[in-house]
Amino acid sequence: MSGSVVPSLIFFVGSLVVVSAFVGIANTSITSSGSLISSTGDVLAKDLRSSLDIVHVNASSTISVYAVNSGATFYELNDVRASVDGEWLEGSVLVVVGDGDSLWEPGEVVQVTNSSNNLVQGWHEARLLVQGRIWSPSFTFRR
Amino acid sequence: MGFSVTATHLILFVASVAIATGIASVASGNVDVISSGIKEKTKVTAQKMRTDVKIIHVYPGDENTSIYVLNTGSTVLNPNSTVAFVDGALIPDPYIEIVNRSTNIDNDFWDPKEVILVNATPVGIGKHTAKVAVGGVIDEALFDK
Repeated sequence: MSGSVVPSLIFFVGSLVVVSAFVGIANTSITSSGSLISSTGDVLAKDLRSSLDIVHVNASSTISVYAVNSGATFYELNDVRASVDGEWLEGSVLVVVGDGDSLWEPGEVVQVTNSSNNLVQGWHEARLLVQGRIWSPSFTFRR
Repeated sequence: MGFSVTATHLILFVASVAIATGIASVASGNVDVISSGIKEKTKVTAQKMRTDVKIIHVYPGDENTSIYVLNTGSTVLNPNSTVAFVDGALIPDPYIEIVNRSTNIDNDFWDPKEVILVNATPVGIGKHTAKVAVGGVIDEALFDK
């Protein structure tokens, strides 16, 4: 009888060690994947709180794109870019309606200006990009 | 034999509970964050749908171009977040005043059914356009001088 208990005990302890190791590895893996999923979730939640709308494009001697932050998130002005017909505007970004600091806050309006205007007469499409991933709906305008 | 089966089941049960707890805690925290984001998005979208403004009159005076804008939506707006354009050009730092209050409360809010006056620089003789935008809502009007 004692001859069968000892191997059983050895197998029991052995299986306990193996399962503990497995659970430890699995939980470490879940925790590290969890932090990755969590940061993805934070980005997704931030994107959900974001809303941008182009309200006007003035295409005279220069191109100026005006957009309102209609969401609930703050942005750095350095993160704001605008494109017209798929071409990036290379120029200044400034808050034209707001409290004057360097953040684009909810309700404020920014102006993205291109120093030149090579657009031909006709209809064109402008879009705004913030933080490299949040796009405004496209805004069509006529020159 | 009976002991070893029970012990195996117990070990597997404890292991599965430990792993499930880990997964549940990660999923739960994530769901909370995304859920608050969805709530915020819904609130922002609902507010945008309830917001509307209308240019009801443009008076092209000799000293100012006066644009009268009615809050036709059901949200309270900040008049200072209004951006105005005349003939496509931005009116920088326009004079804005609430001229027709819907209530007797004298505050800085542009309530529904209230009218604001936006003063822009004067324009020359001919046809012109005025455009205002508040919180992503736009209205545009043509006027003559």
